[in-house]
Amino acid sequence: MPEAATAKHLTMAWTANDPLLTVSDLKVWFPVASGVMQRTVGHVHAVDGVDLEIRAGETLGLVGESGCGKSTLGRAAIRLLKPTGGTVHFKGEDITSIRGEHLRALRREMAMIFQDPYASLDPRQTVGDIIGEPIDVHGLAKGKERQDRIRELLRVVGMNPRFADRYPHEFSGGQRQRIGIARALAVEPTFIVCDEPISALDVSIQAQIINLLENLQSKFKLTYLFIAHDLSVVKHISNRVAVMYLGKIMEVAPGQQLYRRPRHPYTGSLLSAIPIPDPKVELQRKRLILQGDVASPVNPPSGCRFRTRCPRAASYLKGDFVLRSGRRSNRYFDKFLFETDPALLKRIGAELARLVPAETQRLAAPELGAVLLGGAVSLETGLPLVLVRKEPKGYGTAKQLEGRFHAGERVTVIEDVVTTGGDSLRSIEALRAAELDVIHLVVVLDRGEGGEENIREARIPYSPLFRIQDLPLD
Amino acid sequence: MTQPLLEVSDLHTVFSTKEGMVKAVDGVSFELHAGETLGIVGESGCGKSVTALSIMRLQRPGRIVGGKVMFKGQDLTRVSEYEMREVRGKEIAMIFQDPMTSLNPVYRVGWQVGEPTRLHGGWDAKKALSSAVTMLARVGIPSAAARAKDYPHQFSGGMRQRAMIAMGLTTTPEVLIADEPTTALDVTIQAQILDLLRDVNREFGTATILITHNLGVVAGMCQRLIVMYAGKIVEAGPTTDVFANPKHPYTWSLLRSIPRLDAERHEPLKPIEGLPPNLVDLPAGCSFHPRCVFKVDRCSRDTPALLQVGDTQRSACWVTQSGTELKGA
Ligand SMILES: Nc1ncnc2c1ncn2[C@@H]1O[C@H](COP(=O)(O)OP(=O)(O)OP(=O)(O)O)[C@@H](O)[C@H]1O
Ligand SMILES: Nc1ncnc2c1ncn2[C@@H]1O[C@H](COP(=O)(O)OP(=O)(O)O)[C@@H](O)[C@H]1O
Ligand code: SF4
Ligand SMILES: [Mg+2]
Ligand SMILES: [Mg+2]
Repeated sequence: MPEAATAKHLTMAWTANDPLLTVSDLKVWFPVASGVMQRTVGHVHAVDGVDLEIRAGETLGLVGESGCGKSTLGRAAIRLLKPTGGTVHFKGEDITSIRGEHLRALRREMAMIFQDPYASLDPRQTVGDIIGEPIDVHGLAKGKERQDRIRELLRVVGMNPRFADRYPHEFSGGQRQRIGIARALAVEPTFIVCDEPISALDVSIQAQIINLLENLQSKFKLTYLFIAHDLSVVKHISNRVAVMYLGKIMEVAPGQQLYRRPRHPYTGSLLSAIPIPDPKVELQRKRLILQGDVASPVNPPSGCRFRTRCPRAASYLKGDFVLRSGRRSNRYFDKFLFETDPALLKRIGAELARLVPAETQRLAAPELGAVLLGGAVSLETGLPLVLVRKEPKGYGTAKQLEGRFHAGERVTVIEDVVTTGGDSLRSIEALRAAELDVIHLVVVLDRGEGGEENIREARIPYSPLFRIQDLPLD
Repeated sequence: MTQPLLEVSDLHTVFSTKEGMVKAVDGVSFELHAGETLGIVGESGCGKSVTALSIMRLQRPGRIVGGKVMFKGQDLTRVSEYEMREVRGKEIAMIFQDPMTSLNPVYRVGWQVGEPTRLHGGWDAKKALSSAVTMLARVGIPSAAARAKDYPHQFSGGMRQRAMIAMGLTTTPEVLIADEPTTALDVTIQAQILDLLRDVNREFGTATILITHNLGVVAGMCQRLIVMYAGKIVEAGPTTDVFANPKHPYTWSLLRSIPRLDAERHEPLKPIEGLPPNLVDLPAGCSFHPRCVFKVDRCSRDTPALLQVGDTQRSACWVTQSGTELKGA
């Protein structure tokens, strides 16, 4: 997609329907020096291959834990930093390495609002001079016109125009942030990177600033990259949200979708970690607590960067577990074969068994799943395991199941691979037709092709052990 | 109800500053019961930390100018410094927002975590260290024996906070005061630390005072909650009741001003207008009145006391005390 977009920019003029800003395979690395000679011994991979598009007029939220590269990405996007690799296109133009007058002209289109309203304003300048500085730099107005403009900007951000003669220390955090916003607006930009604009503010003031930013956006048709670590705020203000982890984007989706149906385990963990100000909700919440700390951005993990903490990637995934691409018979994807080391299978079995709900009376597994996992699962759980012949697909007919189960028994189905969920749904249907109570579906590998949604529609709780996008494939 | 473990009554703590006298804690009263987790919420500067520090008698340069802190039959504001040191070391532990400032950078973590048992339990260095290692492992530090030899800067923020909690727990205190223990941490690490505090509370039965400005944290952690504004408690009650039916306009407005992760639709936030109070120059009457959408005439003249409103809550507000329900667009 980014390649396509880039290619398009090269061949066609930019129109307002194209992304305002496109970042392709963007990398920003910082050297790590060590020793007396301060030799470069490595690099912090702050931004390490990011593709993003920001559409005109939208707010793209960017969340992630501290140090994951949010601000670096924001700075590189507006060329406050020169990227190590990749490209940045603004209004169709490649701005990755522009300099001098060209870059200065670009600065009129882009602005940044910073986290710390205390540190970002020069204490020796008056509020008027702080706001007037970009006006002077770009020669936008002089004399009375300049003064009028400063006063107007103060009014726009909800402050008394007379405050132009005062100094920053005379104002509260929220007011200083308003001054920072007025300064950003001074060049009449189209695109603003808001870097944690409310994190340093009092709770009761945050909503004032959020509302102000929203009003300004509709008034001046602004496009925002809104960076914050608080996903509740980001979801509120953004059209789409990008989730970043260790220099990479893990997932981009509209906020509501991200919340309802996170596609990446990291998003899920992040959502689960955010407290909801409602005891009724909090007390019933199932918590998925992420273990450990963020890995080092100097030597980021191979494969999926999240795998060192991923709750879906059990310990064997981090070391000795390998999925191999196998026969290419499927119309969608390569096939993936599990390594058939018996000890490893037993470990997978044990892991699966943990996902089987306690009220299960019996396990059901289609042929291949049973062959792969059967022994281990039944050993682990002590539950009777029923091997069902798969003829030709799924569980066959209810008749075939007769006599193998008792009506009303609570069954958990174990599947090896789910693509669209078709097989599993057929199995569940057959089991239901035989009057069994299917309470859960546990799968080894979810190939991320919508199987989960289909199965959820059948109202069966679903637990995959792995999802394809999280696996390091070799 | 049983005898409270800790009872703070009419506590007043002041600071003398260039601009004038700051009443950081202005008549605060509450009880802490054995085994419970009590939340104290409020914006920065409202007096949460000074309240906690005053309980520990660590409020200097501030002065406690009134009130009592009853703990096990003694008034902690009056006991000798020697006795107070015993209380701090053994019976009431405190953990702070920034664990880096409360761990000494030049001593190994294991040594520091063992300090309370050496100083107050009279344990020898070896026994103290081995208990420190056990406790570090208990709070989730991997390879605790090896990591105990690290210096604080070798620990991540989350690990330092775990180490602080381990240090606090070595003497199995009855009360743990956690002052914004997760504010400096990332949300995923915050979730780990909160989970640990829940565990500690369950396993050791430690009564906890959890100070935070994050209403979400309180919602998930605390059975009861105190809301502070400008040095005073403005509302108190069971967490579920206060959230479902706030009895003070400040609580009411605050809850409406924060975006919720589980919001179904985008609705504009309803901010609290105006600025946070300046403790040197507080408005007359109810301190919240310049920002309050419910205010009536007397609010700018008379200061409301914290009184029972409804079955389970207390509120310092003329309007709700007169029986009016808080409602609004
Ligand atoms: N790498 C593999 N080696 C051997 N058999 C495989 C492999 N991958 C999948 N299979 C088997 O091939 C069959 C078809 O797999 P496929 O991924 O096409 O769909 P499925 O997951 O079974 O179907 P559905 O998604 O509809 O439930 C399944 O029975 C599965 O067990
Ligand atoms: N050492 C000090 N000297 C002067 N004023 C102080 C001192 N410590 C705290 N205060 C003041 O006491 C009030 C309450 O502070 P504090 O309890 O730290 O607030 P918070 O609720 O954020 O924890 C604030 O107005 C603060 O400025
Ligand atoms: S006393 Fe008056 S001003 Fe204070 S909170 Fe109640 S209604 Fe508002
Ligand atoms: Mg299948
Ligand atoms: Mg504090």
